[in-house]
Amino acid sequence: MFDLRFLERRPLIVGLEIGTAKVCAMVGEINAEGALTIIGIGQSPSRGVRKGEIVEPALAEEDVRAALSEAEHSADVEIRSVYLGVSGGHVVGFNNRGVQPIVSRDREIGEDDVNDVIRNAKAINIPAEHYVVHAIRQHFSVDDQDEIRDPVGMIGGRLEVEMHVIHGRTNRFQNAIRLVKGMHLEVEDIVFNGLASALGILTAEQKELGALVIDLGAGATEYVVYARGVVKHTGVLAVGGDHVSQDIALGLKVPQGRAEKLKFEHGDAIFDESAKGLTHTPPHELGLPERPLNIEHLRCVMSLRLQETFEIIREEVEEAGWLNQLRGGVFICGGGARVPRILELAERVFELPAFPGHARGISGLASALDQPEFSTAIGLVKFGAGQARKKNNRGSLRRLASWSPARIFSNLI
Amino acid sequence: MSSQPSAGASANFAPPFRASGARVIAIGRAGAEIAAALQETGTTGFTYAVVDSDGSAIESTAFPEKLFVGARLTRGFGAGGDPELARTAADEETPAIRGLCQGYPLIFIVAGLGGGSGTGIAPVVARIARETGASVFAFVTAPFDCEGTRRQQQALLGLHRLKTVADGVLCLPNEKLLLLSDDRTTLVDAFRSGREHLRDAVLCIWGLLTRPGLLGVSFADICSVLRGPNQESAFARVMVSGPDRSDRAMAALLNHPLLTHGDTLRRAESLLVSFRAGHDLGMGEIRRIMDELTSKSDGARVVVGAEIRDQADTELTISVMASTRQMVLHEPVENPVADRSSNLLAADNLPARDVESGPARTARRLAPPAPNLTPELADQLLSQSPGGRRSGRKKPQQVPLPFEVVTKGRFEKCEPTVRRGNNLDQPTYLRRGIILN
Repeated sequence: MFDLRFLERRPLIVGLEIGTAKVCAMVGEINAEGALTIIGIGQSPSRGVRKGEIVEPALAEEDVRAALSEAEHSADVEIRSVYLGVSGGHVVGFNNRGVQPIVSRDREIGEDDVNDVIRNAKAINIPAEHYVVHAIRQHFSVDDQDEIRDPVGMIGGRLEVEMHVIHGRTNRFQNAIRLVKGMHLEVEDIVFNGLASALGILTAEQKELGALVIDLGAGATEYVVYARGVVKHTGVLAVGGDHVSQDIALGLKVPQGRAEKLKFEHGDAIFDESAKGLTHTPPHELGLPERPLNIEHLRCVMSLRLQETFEIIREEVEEAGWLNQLRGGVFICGGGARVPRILELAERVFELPAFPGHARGISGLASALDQPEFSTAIGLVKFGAGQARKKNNRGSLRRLASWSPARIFSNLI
Repeated sequence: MSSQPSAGASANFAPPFRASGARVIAIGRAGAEIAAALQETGTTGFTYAVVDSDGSAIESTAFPEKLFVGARLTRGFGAGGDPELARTAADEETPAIRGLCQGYPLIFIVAGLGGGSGTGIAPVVARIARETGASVFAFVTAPFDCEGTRRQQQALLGLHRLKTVADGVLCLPNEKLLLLSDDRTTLVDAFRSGREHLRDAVLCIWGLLTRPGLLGVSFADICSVLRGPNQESAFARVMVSGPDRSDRAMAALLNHPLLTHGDTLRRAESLLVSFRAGHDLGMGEIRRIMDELTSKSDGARVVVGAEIRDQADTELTISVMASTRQMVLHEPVENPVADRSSNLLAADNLPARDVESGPARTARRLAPPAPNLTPELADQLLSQSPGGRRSGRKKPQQVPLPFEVVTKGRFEKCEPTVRRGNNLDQPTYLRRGIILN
């Protein structure tokens, strides 16, 4: 059943995330048993990206090149194509509905009807300069019978589909795509980073229970709500770790780089009595005496920002009506997951259990899989693997704009 | 509130303000006079103390608790209008000032800014008071314009220092009082009117904090209006009685010079409105006035308090505290070229201009390097000041710099993250006006 020629032809799946703090390339391989293994990682500090979007293409290109070449060395392969993660404050997600009457004589729903209804759902009113990154089918319903996963073969008069559409500015996506294409690499597909992280972290069971994945990146914070097995809500808040560092830099009057270090060494997501009166005197590079830094202020500034970020996300999710459907809890990934007591803060704000996001259902370099920062890149590889399998199964190379995460997993496992 | 700094802790004491009373610390001569005006009202609950750097002035005040700072530095002759001197003198007396503040959860600082003592000492006292865990409100006057720009500058600096350390600052620019008076107003009356306004403001806050009103106003509500280095607060109080008093009150408020004839209301970010009247205060009256006020100040956060007095009089007192956001933090500049032309280039050294006026320009001793201007930019600049050159050289003007310059830092090159009118690129603690000290 498994097509070995496919493996020979396209053995590699590479996820490339051009992040604000780092550029990360993750190389995955589908082995003979059909399981996905991570065989290499390349990363490079990122300089040309702010808030998840490329602002200095020349610098970004250098960093991407460095990350990719490291990945090639580490996996000992040649990278020809990548799955590119995209993000930024301009990316928005919303739910839409499409309707299609079934006109065939026997009223049996066929593949064509499904494609038509999806096309109807995609004919949506988004701004002209926006591009649809994902249109994810959530559920079908046939003649008011809800929650149907696959309507093909059913009998009915009217087919409806609910879709989650993620779109953003075409030009901004093109910046990243052009940068990668300029290196003579092919972009297989672009993937919303938040979705990739969720794919990397959540198990099918957690998706069914309902889960909120928050990717606390350096430039932007992406959040994705899964409920009843499908994506229900996505969003990006262009506030991230950089903002925390900048706040600290301003509040404590230290350089940004120092603020960055202080954040992890002495920071805390929760400001309480334990921080009262604490100070820290860092050693001076030149051996001169340094003024002591007030840890109390550091934690106050930091916790205010992090709390605000969570509160905004909570507000958004609550307004969309999904907060009480998250029985699986909140999953935190991205560099922000390293901040001490961040899970406790999330538990307080969301009033839900919070967990660190660990990549699942994948084997390979243990060092990569444990890090919260890599969940997006791993998710990209997973996404790519799902797409590759799907293409292979259907024997079609056209871009499948709609896919069901559940299906990808059933294909993978 | 769990993440609030020390102010949060002191807010726990908010209810017993009444029992513990408030400490009024008067600073400088102006402060002592305001305190005297306060004392005259006979309000209970205040304990007064005076801090001054002028030995003879402090001798002449009637208050029992006095602290003379600067025995060494000024030899008792006062700071002579030098805030730095007064500040140093106050710093030396830190333990004594702490002694004055100890044991009072609420401290009111009254002072006149612009001179030496008030400007220099008030921020020091506010800082020390906050260190003892007290909540600090400062009520200050700013000098008349005719007192000279130096005093104005000093007052602004002192005000800014005060704002960064106190829980709330209410500043009354004396200049605005002139609008209340006419040419025949005597000097004594003018200053008295300023004192009385500040006195009313203190009494208003004190009343809100201690007298349980019908519509209660909490400590946090008051802080939200007065707190933060970004806020510029204004206070106005009108008293009316008789028939259709609500209409007349409204008209008086909208024309109130301290609210710059309603302009402050339009720009207000938060409003605190407190009603005080006898039992006959009608819901309709409150609603009418509040409707009017909220429609004038669109989008502002509004806190309403009402207090019913036992006396059966028909007088209605409305106090309005409005805070407007003064600091504009890296708002997107609509036309950066226009901005640069007015500030940096000062229409003085454009390369395109030499073409126009010929090469016979006298060389400056210090010639700044020619700015990198594309022809389009230069054209744009030129078109912005038509004829400006021919009508003689414009004197470059030194524009006042904004108080708190918050750089965009890392986010210089990207669009600001704005959500519901808040620029999230600004630090949360600054936006919420939380004081780090």
